[in-house]
Amino acid sequence: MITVAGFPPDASFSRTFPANSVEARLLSTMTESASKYSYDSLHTLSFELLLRREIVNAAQLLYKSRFGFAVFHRSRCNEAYWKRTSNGGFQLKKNTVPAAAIRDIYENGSAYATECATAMLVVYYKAFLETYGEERFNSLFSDIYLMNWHTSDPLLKAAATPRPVPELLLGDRGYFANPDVDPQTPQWQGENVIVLPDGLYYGHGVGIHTADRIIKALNGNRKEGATQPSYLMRSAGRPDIKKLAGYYPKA
Amino acid sequence: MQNDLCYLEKLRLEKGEESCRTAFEQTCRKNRMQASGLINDRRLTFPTLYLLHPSIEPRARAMSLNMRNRRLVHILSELKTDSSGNKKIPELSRKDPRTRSILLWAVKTGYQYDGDDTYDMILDTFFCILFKTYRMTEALPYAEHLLFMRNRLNKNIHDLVWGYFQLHDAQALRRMAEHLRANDPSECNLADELLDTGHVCPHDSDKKEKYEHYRQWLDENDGYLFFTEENLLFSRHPRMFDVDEDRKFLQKHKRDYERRPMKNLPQHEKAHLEELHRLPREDRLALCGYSHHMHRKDKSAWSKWMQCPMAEKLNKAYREKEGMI
Repeated sequence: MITVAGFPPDASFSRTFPANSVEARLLSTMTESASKYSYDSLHTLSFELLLRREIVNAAQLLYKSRFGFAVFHRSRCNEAYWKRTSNGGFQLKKNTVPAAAIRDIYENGSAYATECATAMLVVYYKAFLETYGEERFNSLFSDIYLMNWHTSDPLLKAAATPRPVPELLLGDRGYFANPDVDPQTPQWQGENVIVLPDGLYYGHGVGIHTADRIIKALNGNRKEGATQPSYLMRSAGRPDIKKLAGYYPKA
Repeated sequence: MQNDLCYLEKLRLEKGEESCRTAFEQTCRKNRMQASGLINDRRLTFPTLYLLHPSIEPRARAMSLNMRNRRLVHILSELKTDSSGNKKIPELSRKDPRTRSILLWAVKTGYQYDGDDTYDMILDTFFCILFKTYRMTEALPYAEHLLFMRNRLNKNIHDLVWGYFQLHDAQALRRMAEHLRANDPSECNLADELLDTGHVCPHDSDKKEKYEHYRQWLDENDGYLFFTEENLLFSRHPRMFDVDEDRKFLQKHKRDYERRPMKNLPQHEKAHLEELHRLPREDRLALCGYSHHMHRKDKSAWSKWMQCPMAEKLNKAYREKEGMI
């Protein structure tokens, strides 16, 4: 169930979203859930719905962008906006506009190649860009470093540390673990995914598929004599909505 | 030791990589047998083989390379041309003692070398195979050295960290714990993060206290540890291993470090676990710790304690924790 300042939100609130939209589906899942989703204000709830919608969009667009896959040792980026660092990450170049650098990834996807964790960071930044708008985005994220969760922005700390959840929601970052992976391809030790509508997931390097298809793909990268199949972990990386909503103008 | 270097090693270390490459290329053109002899020298190291691979590869069939070098030249040819890092070489997938010794030789003679991205990727792959496929504890010191060296150089450590913990053995944790008391703060910090000491040690402890506290924790929990699927791709703070609380509470040790659910438990033990699962984390930790200590001290007293109502169990556990027993 959902509560806003201790009470269920007004029925008219859900009617503001078109049927089958990401927001409407989220509201339906959260309302019908046995778990409690509590918000201090309608502003925070609205912001979460908006951000989750943009995460879903950003994931779908990244898939279409031909953003390449490569292990960190083989990663590459467009040097006009990013500097490839010695550990395979991408550091925003000085005097570069953050919004333009993020948009370039979507426009020149094939100029880039990296692993799934970095792709998730790209998705989050694109979602922030669309949610906050260019001006605010540029001031909030002036020093972007795309690599792993460890080096991520303080505003992404919560999303970087998945916690057990009762259910996965649209826009969540999930993780498929592959315990018996072939050690020749350690990059397939697991797959970070964004939860999309209709039972689909976006994973960088595997594409947009159902859980079964992703499990099948990971199972195809197991060691000889493997006994454990890959599986979807019951954890999710979720951004700190309350904190992020604080940077979003109130209507 | 410098005296024990072979010709090519000496050349690489004293005159530089370019001189070594040029000299070897010239030898290959003039006298393939001599070139083969230089590569087959038992004192050759993996970094030199890697460096000279472009000269060896087109002539490999015509050269009289020993089995180790022949196989490594083939492996390097496959891995070097893999643009995304997704290629699999069948001979590395099969378990084979000869492959194991070849890979061990490569990491043993190659771990101190600060190579390019491709070299690092190849060495990472070898370590991952040695740990996950062959459970090779012998490779731990080399992986550790490389891990901390790369960390100091801000180079990539993802796969190396993953491989290190794929050994699934507390030996890896014990060795890593030694770095908690290192002089280099970056070494302490990395060990601290990888061992996730925040869950175990008091926050205000200095490095010596942290080390001792951690070692005690390891000694106490060795029989209940299991390795998880968490890693640096998954989380900022992965917990790559954990304690099986159920086993610790019921005092059912394991012989390995895999997560093994307990099967066919008698009804009264199932009831104990149900009670345990209903408690908050702090209470569970106190009960499991007390159960471990009591069982070691006096098995019959432990059996009696297990029969007590939960409130009494907790009372005794906390009294021991506070030093009252």
